[in-house]
Amino acid sequence: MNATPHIIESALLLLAAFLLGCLLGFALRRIFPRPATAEASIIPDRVQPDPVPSEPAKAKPVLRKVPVDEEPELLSAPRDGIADDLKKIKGIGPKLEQLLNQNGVFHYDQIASWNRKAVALMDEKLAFKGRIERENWVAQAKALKKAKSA
Amino acid sequence: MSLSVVVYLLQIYWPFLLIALAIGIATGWYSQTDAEEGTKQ
Repeated sequence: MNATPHIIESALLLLAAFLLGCLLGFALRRIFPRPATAEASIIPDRVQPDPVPSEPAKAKPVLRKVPVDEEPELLSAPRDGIADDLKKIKGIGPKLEQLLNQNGVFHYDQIASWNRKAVALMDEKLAFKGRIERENWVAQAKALKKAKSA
Repeated sequence: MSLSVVVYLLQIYWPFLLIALAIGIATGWYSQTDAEEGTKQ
């Protein structure tokens, strides 16, 4: 056997090995499904009950990570008359702070308590166009709240 | 592409084929999303 490089044959063999691996991997995943983890349990698809409930009266308790009351907490005035400096949150300037204040948001803990639904609500209400999530206001507010209470 | 060439390549380049197989297995494994798996169960 000469040592000439059989490029096409090599490529075909590699491709065949890769495709065989794909099939093997796919089949193995089907045979051995990954056990459900705690992280997976918060994926909505898994949390949702079956579309065809067998016993509607005995509905399984659904694990809800979000509270039932999804409305964000809004205040008519700051607690103790002193509002937090929301401008410390990156992405909030004087105008946005004023707008938030006008809509009942004065404190870090208010923003920190927002869940996805509340974020979406506020985003829509104040026409922030996804800024809250994009600029991670909730995480920033949590950090500021922690720093404030420390 | 004769059989002798294939056998020769298998003899010489088997580690690379093994690597390709491993990459393929990983690709096949991760090509299924959790959602797909969930609907199956």
